[in-house]
Amino acid sequence: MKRIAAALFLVLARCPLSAQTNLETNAGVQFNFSTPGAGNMGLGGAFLALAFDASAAYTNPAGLSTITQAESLIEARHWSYTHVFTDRGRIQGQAPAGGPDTEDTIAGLRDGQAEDQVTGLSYFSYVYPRRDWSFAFYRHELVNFEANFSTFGAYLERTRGRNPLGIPGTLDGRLAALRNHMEVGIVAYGGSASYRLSRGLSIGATLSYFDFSINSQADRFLPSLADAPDFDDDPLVNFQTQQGDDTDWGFAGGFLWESGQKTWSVGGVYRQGPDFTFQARSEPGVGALLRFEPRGRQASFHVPDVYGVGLAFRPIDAFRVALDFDRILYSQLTDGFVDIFDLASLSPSQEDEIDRFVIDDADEVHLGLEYAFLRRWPVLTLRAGAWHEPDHSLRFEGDNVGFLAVFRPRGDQMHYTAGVGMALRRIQVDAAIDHSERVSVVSLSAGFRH
Amino acid sequence: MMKPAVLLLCVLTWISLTPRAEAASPDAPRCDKPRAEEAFIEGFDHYSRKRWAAAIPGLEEAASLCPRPDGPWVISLHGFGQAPYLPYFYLGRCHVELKDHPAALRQLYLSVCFEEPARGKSRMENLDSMTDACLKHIRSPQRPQKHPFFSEGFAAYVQEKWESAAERMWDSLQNWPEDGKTTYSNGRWPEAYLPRFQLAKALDKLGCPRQACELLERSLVNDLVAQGNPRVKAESQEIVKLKAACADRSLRTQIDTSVCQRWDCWLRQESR
Repeated sequence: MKRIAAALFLVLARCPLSAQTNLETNAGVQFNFSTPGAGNMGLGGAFLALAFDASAAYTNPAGLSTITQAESLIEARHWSYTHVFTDRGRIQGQAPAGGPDTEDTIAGLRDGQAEDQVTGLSYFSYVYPRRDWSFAFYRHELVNFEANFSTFGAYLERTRGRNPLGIPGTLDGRLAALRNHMEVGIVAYGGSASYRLSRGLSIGATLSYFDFSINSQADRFLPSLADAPDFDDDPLVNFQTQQGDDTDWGFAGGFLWESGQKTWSVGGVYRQGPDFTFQARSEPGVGALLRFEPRGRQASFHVPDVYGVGLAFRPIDAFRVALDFDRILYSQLTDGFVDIFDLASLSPSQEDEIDRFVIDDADEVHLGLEYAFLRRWPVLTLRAGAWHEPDHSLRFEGDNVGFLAVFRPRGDQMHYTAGVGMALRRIQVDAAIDHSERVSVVSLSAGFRH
Repeated sequence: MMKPAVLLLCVLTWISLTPRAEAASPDAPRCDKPRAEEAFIEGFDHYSRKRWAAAIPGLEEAASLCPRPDGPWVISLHGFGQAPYLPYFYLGRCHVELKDHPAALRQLYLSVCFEEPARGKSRMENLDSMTDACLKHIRSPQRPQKHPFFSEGFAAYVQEKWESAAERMWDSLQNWPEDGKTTYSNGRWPEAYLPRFQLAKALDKLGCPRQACELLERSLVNDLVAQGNPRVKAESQEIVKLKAACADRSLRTQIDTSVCQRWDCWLRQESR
């Protein structure tokens, strides 16, 4: 009986319980929509009230009015991503099977980590000031993301029940072992303008054209219940893809106020995020136990809207401190959320669960300091900063055990930044690093005055 | 005997060949009294009610229409008393009340240059104390940590707002003398603190080359360029062009426009 039950629950375990989860690749991904400029980065991203170089074309277009001579900025970045995902173990409240012939030995879910690195020319802009107006055009790599990772397949819930033949026994569940690949890229091409309304007060606007591409594939394998996955030998039961290229337009507006002596400044910005669509498909693999018709749906990707306000204090030429508050509407990423597996057709009780996927909006706080050694030539500037990034990973708040295991909160992140710059009359070079537990970015930029 | 036509031709030829500068008189201050009076009354009405900002346009218009009347001039204020015609002095007072001490100082200096103290002694007893108070507000006892006037002047120059650029650079000189050390013009772009040199450039653009050349002679930039200071590499190229223009001898007989006359006044007062 136990042997039959074991074989059956193996079969049951091979039921697409694992296919009732949504695409796991998205659970390990955190998008950070970066603002350009190594000087900006070195200051912890607190730039809304400063916005005094060509990166203002994207960050806060009102800041373009502070630029008095034509200048350009070019930047290269290197991103190092650490993806965190549910890898192995058994959900809390369930004792692992234990024993020498099984991998089910870990109590509680364990995360895995994988690293990917991307390098690219992330920003270029040119600013042309003319009396009370300033104009700029730019190219900005808003997202340049890659993820490659594999999961072990965590164990879920053992329950007492009957198999499809009516034989009572223990039913067990295990997430499929996944092999994931994802690439996402968003590039913005924009034009900005600012106007000086009065001494110390400026407004600005940006119109951008966004180019989006996504390419992801999650291959789902089903190892034996007690074994580690073998991606060469285990059957590929199904796979999901997210693919597409799309374009859209976006708008941003900002303001900048500076006190008479430029000791204090306040800046604010609203950036409307573009919307893109792509195709999400789920198809049976060659080792599928349960054949189904390939399913394709149009899904949407909405870059979050951003509201921000900043304050800067510059008591002397050599020293600045800046503080920004940004509200990023990450919840918009779940607008038009698609069940890639079409679970409702498999199990009507799952239909409502799809609405229980959540991403929280985030309130970010950025702080930065800068000190310039003006007696040196070239002028040497040191920067330091920090910013708090609330958790905005995709999580599940319903009852489905598989979704709960994969789509979990990941915790807030603290980013620490440092930067250095050297400036002459016509050229300046800046370098900066932004480090957190899951993302590290190194930036190098050069500005030219024409 | 030379024929009259030939004689006339010779005279005309002689007149046309005579350098224009020697033949013309300087730009003498004009005085459109009726219109100046009207503008003055409007401005003084606000002034008497302590509406300092509202008083400025009328007083400025009056000053431009009649900067120096012939002798004392007392204006009746439509049945509300009388006031001596001292537009620059009142403008100085307005700017003092509005806490714009550099602008106040410029107006008070013009008051002296256009001989208002001689025309309104009783009303102007506090001219010296007001001037000293403005200087006290503007001047920095030690090298300031920021040079906002210099930054604004630099920005104005790049925007081709020559008058604004000149005024800001002059303000900067009142605040702290030229020292050639590094400051920020805007953003993170370093500049050498040379407001006298920048003022010379702005005056040249304003059509006051004589004043510009006199300032250029006194600017610290000459020493820094001679020393090969790397901070002034850009200035070393600009100075060559300016000095070439200054070598033009006709500058000595330059006709001074009203703008240049005002700058003559300020530069003379500054070097007292």
